[in-house]
Amino acid sequence: MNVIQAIAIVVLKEMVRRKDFYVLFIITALITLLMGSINIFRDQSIAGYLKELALLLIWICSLVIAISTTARQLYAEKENRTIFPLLAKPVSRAQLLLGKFFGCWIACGLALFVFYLFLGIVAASREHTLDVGSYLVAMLLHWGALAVVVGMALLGSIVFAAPSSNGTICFVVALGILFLERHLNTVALQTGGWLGNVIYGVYFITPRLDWAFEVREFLIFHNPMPGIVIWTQALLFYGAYAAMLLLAAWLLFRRRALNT
Amino acid sequence: MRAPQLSLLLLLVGCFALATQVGPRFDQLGSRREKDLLASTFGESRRLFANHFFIRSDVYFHSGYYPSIFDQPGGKKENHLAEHAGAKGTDHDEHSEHGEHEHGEHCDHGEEASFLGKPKDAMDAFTRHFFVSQHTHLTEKGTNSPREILPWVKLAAQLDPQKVETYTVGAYWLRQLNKNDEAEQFLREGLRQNPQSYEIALELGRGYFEVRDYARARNVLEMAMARWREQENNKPAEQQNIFAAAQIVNYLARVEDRTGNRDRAISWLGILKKLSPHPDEIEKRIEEVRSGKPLEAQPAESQRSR
Repeated sequence: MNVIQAIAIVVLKEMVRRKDFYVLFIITALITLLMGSINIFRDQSIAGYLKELALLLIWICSLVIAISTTARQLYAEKENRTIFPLLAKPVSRAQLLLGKFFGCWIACGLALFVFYLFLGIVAASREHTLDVGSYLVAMLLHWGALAVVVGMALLGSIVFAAPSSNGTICFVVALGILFLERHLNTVALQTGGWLGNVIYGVYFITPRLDWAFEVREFLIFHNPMPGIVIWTQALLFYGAYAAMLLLAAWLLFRRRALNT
Repeated sequence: MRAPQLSLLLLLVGCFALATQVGPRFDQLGSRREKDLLASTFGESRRLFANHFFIRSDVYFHSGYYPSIFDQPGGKKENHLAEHAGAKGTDHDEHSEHGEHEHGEHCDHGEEASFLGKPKDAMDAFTRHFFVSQHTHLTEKGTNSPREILPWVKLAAQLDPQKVETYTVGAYWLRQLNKNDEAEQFLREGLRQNPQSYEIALELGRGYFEVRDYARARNVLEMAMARWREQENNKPAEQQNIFAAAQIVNYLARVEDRTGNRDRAISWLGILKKLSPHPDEIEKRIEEVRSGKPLEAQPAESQRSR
């Protein structure tokens, strides 16, 4: 456990040193504040469009942080040849993967906290009220979904040859799931035949990142969030899916030669 | 002082002097530059974006309950926000004098309410907990809630100033939010962009009527009627926008009635009788006005907003 924790802390420190998060946060804050300064029929209490924009930017930034941070982890260790002394400690390959996973995931969580805090402040300054519980549930679901994304990028870093291809493929897959997943069953039924069956199969096996993505609308439109039982089930689903991806990554990584 | 520092100081002073000269001119060109920028950035595709943002305002009106392109075959195709604002004629209008859609607890939106249908599978049923799957309107969330649609309407108007519906719908909701001045300004902007639009003129007249500025209401509504005749009289009867004409004439009759011109009011009601799907009702009203009764109850003094 101490080994995993040590590796995770190294990943966290690396994220603090790198400029990715700061740049993305400043861009998000600038765009949101700029849009907030627009005069819309002299009404300063309109917040829906700002929340929608900020949440979209937060989702894009969080995906960029999660994928870019995770995708380069194993490549960097191999390229700098630090993976050899690391595994000679002794640190098992499973511990290395788990350490990298938790480091990246916790780093995403910290980034999300800052993003959602900013969003909460912007929304409260406009609406003069803040439903902290709803924001917390949205953030937890978002963080849960990022566990799957981090797991996916970690698996990709073993399957694909370079961090760039891994990052691009993970980003395309994640965006595809976010925007299309919910409608795949409708498309499958409309398509019919063997192709419809294939689409229905894809609908059932892909991780439901769209759940966390769609709850944004509850924040925007002031609708009640799903109950605790529902969102706990969703978090368990994300946890199980991330564990499955990690297991697949470990199965591929445990016998992989490190000099390639 | 050394030469480099002196040069720097001179450059600074020069820049400041130039800024005082150029700044005001740029400010004057500001609004034109903004439109040019939108046109050059988006080209003709800005109309598509404008349409998207106008639909987005409808999405907000329904608190996010809205069919996607995947649900469209069974979903709604008309902009409900526009119907609500009276910008389009609907079946409801035959029963509603002002063409406004009333939302009671028995309000049934038919196809719109059921576009999701029953859950297709267990996963679908669970997924419905995570997106807006119940039909509500912003108007049910407080009197000021509809203001959330305004940014999208404004953005749609900036991207496509020729889309008349954006102005009429925006002005309707601005008036609902007691922003009469902003509504008038928005419609005036729309009229500048679309000088031939009788729809915008009708909306402007409606606004003046509601704040009891009858002289301006008459001017604008008569202008609307003249433009309607210019544009619609050449069309075959079945293609004419009779709904808009009936609304213009109805308001003109009410303006004349309020200002005591009973003969003019009766004259407009005579025209309305030919346009209305319920001529008997209009005939009854004509008789009432002839007998000295007012066309409608006068608004209370406390309702005056101007």
